[in-house]
Amino acid sequence: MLTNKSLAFKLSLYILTCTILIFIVVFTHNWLVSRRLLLKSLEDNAQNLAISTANKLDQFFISASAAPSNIALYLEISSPTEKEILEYQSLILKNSPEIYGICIAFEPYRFHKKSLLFAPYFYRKTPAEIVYMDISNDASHYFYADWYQIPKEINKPLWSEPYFDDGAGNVLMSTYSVPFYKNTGKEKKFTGIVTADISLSWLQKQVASLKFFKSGYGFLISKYGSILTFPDPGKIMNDTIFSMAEEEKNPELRKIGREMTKGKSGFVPFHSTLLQRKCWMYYTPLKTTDWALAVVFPEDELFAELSRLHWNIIFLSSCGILILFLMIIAISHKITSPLRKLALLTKDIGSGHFDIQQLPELDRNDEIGGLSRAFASMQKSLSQYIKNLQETTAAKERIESELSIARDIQRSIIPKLFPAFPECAEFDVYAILESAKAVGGDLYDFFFIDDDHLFFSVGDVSGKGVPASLFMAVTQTLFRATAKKHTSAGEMVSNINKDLCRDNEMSMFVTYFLCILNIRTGELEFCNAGHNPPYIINHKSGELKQLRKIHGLPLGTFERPYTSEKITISAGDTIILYSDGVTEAFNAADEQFSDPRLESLIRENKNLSARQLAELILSEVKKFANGCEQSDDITIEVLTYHGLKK
Amino acid sequence: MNNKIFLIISFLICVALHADDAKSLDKVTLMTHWLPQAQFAGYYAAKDFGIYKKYGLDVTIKNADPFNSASELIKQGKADFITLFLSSAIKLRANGLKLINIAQTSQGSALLFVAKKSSGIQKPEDINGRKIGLWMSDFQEIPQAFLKQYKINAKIVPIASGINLFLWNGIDLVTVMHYNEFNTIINSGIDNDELTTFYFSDHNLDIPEDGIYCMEAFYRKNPDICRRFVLASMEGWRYALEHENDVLSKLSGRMKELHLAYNKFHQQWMLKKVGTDIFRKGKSPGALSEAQYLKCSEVLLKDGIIKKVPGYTEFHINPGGEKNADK
Repeated sequence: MLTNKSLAFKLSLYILTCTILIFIVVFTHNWLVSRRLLLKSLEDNAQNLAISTANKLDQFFISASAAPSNIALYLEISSPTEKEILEYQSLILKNSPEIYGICIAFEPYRFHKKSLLFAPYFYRKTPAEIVYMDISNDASHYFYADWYQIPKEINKPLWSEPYFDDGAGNVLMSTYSVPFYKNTGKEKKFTGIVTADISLSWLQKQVASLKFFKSGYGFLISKYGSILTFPDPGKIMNDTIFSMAEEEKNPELRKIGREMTKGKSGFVPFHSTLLQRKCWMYYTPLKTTDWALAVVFPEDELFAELSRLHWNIIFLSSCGILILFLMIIAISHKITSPLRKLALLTKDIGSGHFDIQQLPELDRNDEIGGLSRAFASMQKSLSQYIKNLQETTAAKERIESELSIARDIQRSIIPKLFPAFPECAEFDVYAILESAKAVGGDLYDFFFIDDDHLFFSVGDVSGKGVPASLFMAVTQTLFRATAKKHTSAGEMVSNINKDLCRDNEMSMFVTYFLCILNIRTGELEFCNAGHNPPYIINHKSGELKQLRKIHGLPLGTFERPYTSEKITISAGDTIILYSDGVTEAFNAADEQFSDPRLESLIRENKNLSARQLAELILSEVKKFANGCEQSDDITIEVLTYHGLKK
Repeated sequence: MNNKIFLIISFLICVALHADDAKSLDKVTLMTHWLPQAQFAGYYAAKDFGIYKKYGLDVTIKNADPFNSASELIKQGKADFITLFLSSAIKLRANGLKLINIAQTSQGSALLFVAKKSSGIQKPEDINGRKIGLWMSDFQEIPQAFLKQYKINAKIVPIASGINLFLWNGIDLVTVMHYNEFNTIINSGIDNDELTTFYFSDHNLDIPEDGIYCMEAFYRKNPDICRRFVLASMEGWRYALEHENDVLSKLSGRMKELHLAYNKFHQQWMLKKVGTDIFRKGKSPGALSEAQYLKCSEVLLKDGIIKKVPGYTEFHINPGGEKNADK
């Protein structure tokens, strides 16, 4: 697909793809690492904030719990009067600004043997005004209040779950309760509870001062998950972190709540319904109260700076990539412009303009210069080559024209007008010569020596082309010129051989088969000088035989006499002369047409006329070769003797 | 069927009311046996949304608390109607307080004991020697019956309300209502699978709970008021279940007034559970079957809480509906 695109396009595509991939990898890595670092640093900050606040609250609780603990100790080791108790109690409260109220609640009949209940309570009506009441007068059964019953049953001090102190304090509070005991000799006997109340509004203020980012907030939960402080005051005391989890159908929050109430610390992501988005929370326990403090901040605010930074990076990188893209386009354009020029010039050269002189960038030392110089050298060689080629082609054309003339001459030497002797009914002759090259080395001939004697022959000169055809022309001319001077065929061949051998520096030779037919008697004299033996069909008997006798070597080899012999043929007999181009024609499988194939062809078609038979043999040979190049001249000459017509 | 009768009666009452607009409303007081919560949503709905008024009643709703039981208050004449557990009511009647049940709203038991698995309590026998938190007022009969049934000897710690003592391990078990405190325990971060529960209904103690009561003398004197009160209350319940949000929003006001923790989700849950119990399939709302009555009485008799079973027909009059089908 890309193969059709320009080099500049491909270059910019590959480079930009790589650049963008590298950018994405670096960017993602940077994003993840900086996110992790930021989160870690924020976890540290949140942790510091939460822990320092927790410590502050713990200090507060330690300080608030000191007063009831001291009072409990005082009551355990001494037996103060009611007046002393009240004085001490109010004094302590006055000196404990963090405490809202202090109560000393006795078990029934444990203070006075006569009075069932005694529970003096001092609380701050206003920051400056301390008010006294005996809560046992109010018919509130304090024995069943959590702040009383729980420390009594578990025998240890504790901070209560948040509650509204109805009737006494009338504020939302949590109470630190310390059980105290009296030694009755055998055992320590539970005597009552000393409490210190703290108002949750103070805690609310402390935790509300926790600010993290724009909308982060803090909240405090009790040992069993009750909301003690929260940005939405409606949740305080009414909800637990677990009821919120249930309401929000958020099992993650329940899990976090359980971790918090187990006194664990953690930094976790969670969905804040209050902020309606994903947040992070750091939670840590208060050491004094089994309560837990959490700091919450929204993730988008946490990562706002980081997001801005990364958007900037993306913007700058995009600009950079755009510039890079333009640069690549420009550079690749500059690099490829000589190539394009070269391509255009090459096209020109290709279309034959070899004389272009100005190839570009020849003075450069880089690959482009090298290519240009190589092109210049190629142009030069090509130009020279084309010049040579033109000359050669001209010479070849001349030769071909000459060859064509030679062919015409050669064709004009051999008789090719058929029927050759329309006035002679005694015989019928037909001949074909198919040259392998423009000018062939085969020959055939027929002519009357005198009124009765018909000369006919077939020859094949060694070699092909012009020399062969010239040798053939000489041979044919010699036969034509001297045929009438001789008495026999053998003598004729002997004399002509003598002429051919003389001055035969090229050592060419010709195989030759010659017949002289007396058209009146049917007497046939023939001489075979190394030629393929012809076939003769006996009309009467239907017999096909070959005139196998060879009377000497091909003409032009040695000077020596040739003999001849005579047979008589009858009317209807046919003699078939041919050159080795027929039997040695090759097909694609490298098989020869061969004598047996020719013999059977003739046998099967012995009743055809001379012309029909000659043409059939040629067409069969061509069919056999099936388009394979003709390697040798093909000559076929057929003569049918009809005898004298009565 | 019930609904049809209900509608016809409502229609007749409306016609009667319109016929005599000048007639003043009958003032009565209802005392619920616990603090305001969705457990009594039907009564609040009937009052807040004009249903009592429609029935010619001007109802003041008061609530008992852990230290002031509803039965005490009706005894003192501070209330005309009270709600009460069936078991408590039978006990009071057998002991001579002439209370009558005019509607049995609850049709099954929602009471159970809960223990933390970490305390090692798995089966009733494990409770022996443990501390059990029981409400100090009217609701002790069935938990006591459970303990007797399994011959459990445990230390009873009377508690006012809530589950904090249990959470702090001040007691090993606590009585809770499934529709209320049980959910509060879950909302205190203790998972269901960390708790062992003994639902009394699984221990042959499926005794229905809340019902509406008045003094027999009051009923004799004002049968029509009683009938209208029950009809209006039941309509209030239907209204509450259909208008959950409106009713709960009014309820939240009442609870906040008393500085009680109000958690909408929790109250919603409670309303659904209590509502399902009142309108059970195949039961006539408000009816107490003789079988239910006798079962509860026998439990009380067996445990020696009562000496004699008061007559069913004297105890339960259902002016607002039909007798329960399952005898």
